[in-house]
Amino acid sequence: MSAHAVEMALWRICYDEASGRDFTADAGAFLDRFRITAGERKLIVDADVRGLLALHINDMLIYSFFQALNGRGAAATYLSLMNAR
Amino acid sequence: MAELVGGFLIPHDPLIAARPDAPPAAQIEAVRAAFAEVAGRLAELRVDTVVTIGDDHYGMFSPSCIPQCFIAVGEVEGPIEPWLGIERAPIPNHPELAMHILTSGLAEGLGWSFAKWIAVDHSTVLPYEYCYRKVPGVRTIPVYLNDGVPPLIPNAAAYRVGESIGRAIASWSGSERVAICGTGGCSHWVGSPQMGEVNESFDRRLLALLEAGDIDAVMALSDDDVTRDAGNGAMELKNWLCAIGAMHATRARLIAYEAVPQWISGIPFAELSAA
Repeated sequence: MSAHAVEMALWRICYDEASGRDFTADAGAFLDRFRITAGERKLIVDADVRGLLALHINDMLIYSFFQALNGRGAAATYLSLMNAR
Repeated sequence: MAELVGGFLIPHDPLIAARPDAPPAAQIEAVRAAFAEVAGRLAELRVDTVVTIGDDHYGMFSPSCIPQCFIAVGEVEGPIEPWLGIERAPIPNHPELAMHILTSGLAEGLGWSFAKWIAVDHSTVLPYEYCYRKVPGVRTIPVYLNDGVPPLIPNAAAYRVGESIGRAIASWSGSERVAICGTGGCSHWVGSPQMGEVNESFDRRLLALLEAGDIDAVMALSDDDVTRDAGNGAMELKNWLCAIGAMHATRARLIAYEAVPQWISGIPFAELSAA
């Protein structure tokens, strides 16, 4: 169930400017607003894209989240992380 | 009475705008020419309103509300993505006809969601910028299906949304000449580990089914099979089925197809033929 809350947190980071700023300023305080597990919290803080995918977080949202953190030019890095063994 | 005079399948790939020079020149020219051909057909058909069937990419709608089928009945602006390189601006809607489509569908039992004001993404803006706005005075009614956040709208339901749109246009008292565009790519993976791959053989099989008029075979494709073979983005074939339903189309005439890894998608263009 809390995977849905993970998606809400990611969506706000991506598409709500104030939330994005809050996450950048203090990720822990921002994530305190969501009922998510310690493991889910770590996946977000670490931008662990493979871990988020394993949690069945929506692919498009994971990519948007990674771009929000790393910019539009980060596709190659994203793919290398996604496909890391 | 208003008339649905044409239907098309066209791409809305955001990278067409964001990375315009990435593919080989011949493919860039083929896509430009195909957009121009569709715009030319809209002009020949004297279209004044285009119903654009698109899908959200988990940006317009948040996890707090994910509509299965959605129509904009008021003010529209976009794109929401600054990285497209297209200036955010108002997009001309046809609010009266949009409201008629909405209320007609609700009366039939269709589960429309709607907005009186909406900022839209590239699936409305790209077709408008690259195609419709070449035809002076054309307005567009944005419709969004849920192709991206499971559980997705079933193929049959997408088709029924189209049928309802078609009936509503036919029952509208105005003299509008309307086209419908099912937008989106063929195979593409968005955010998935396979992102950047294009399954050209899948795309050509899919387009061949439409050219042959085997709509039932397209309708019967399962979401799991399509996702496995052609990626999450290929779910946009539901947008095509909606346009096909509106037209009661029996087949498609292929205008162009390009497999463009630089734009992470197969890029299709086709014109629908009514029964």
